[in-house]
Amino acid sequence: MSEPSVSPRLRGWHRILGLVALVTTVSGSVVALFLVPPDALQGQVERLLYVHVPAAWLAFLAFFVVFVMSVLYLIQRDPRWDMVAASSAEIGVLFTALTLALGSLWGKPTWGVWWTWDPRITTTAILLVIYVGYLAVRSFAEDPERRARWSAVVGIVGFADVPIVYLSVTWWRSLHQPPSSPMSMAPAFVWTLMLNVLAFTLVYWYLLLRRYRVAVAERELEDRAAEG
Amino acid sequence: MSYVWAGYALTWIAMAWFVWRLERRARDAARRLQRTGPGVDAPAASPR
Repeated sequence: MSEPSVSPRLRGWHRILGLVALVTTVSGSVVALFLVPPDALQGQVERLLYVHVPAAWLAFLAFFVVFVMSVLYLIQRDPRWDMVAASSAEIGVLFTALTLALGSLWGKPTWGVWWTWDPRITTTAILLVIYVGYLAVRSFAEDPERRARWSAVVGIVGFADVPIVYLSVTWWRSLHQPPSSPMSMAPAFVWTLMLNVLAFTLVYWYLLLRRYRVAVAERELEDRAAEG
Repeated sequence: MSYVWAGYALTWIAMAWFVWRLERRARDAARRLQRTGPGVDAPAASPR
């Protein structure tokens, strides 16, 4: 593949996906804020979990895509995989930061502190640093091939922290609650959470496609500058 | 409830900021592509 491009058909699907993502996300927020009852123990602050958990899920999904695309890039050396990985990493960084901020907003009224060096929170902060590093590597390397190769290595190695974040609540003594299951939650809470997970997943694919289109254009400019 | 409102506001602002930033980058790239020559697959070139 010599020149990356985005088809008009993809653009059409993109607009539809954007609309569906927007409607689902607004619906998810309305249900979470106004329709679902407050938790018996946590009260109103529990409503934050309907965005905190989906944000964390989205970040994991984004970094998984970075991992897969990085492996594919190292095998096939196709610049499209590198552009998808870079696009996904940016989204992952945004939502990891959001996960930490939302967790902090939940932690203050629940635990009495904005921040604590809890294993789950600390490993999530490390995850953020790793992928900020991934983006820094991309901005330092000027040669596109070297940039893609280096960042693919960071994308693969960095993904090792994702299962550590997930399992941290079971491996170490943690303030953070362990993963809940649908069996341990009221159906209204489960459905609200699922709706918001779906909404955030749609948002992810929409942002990824949009960011990929920017990556294609920027790559094209870079290629022209190199030629000219 | 103020923590909850702050959390949802932050979520929406973060998503809107990301989309706005992407839109700006896309327009900037499209403008630069148009300046450098024809045969361009310019992203998000149409005005909204």
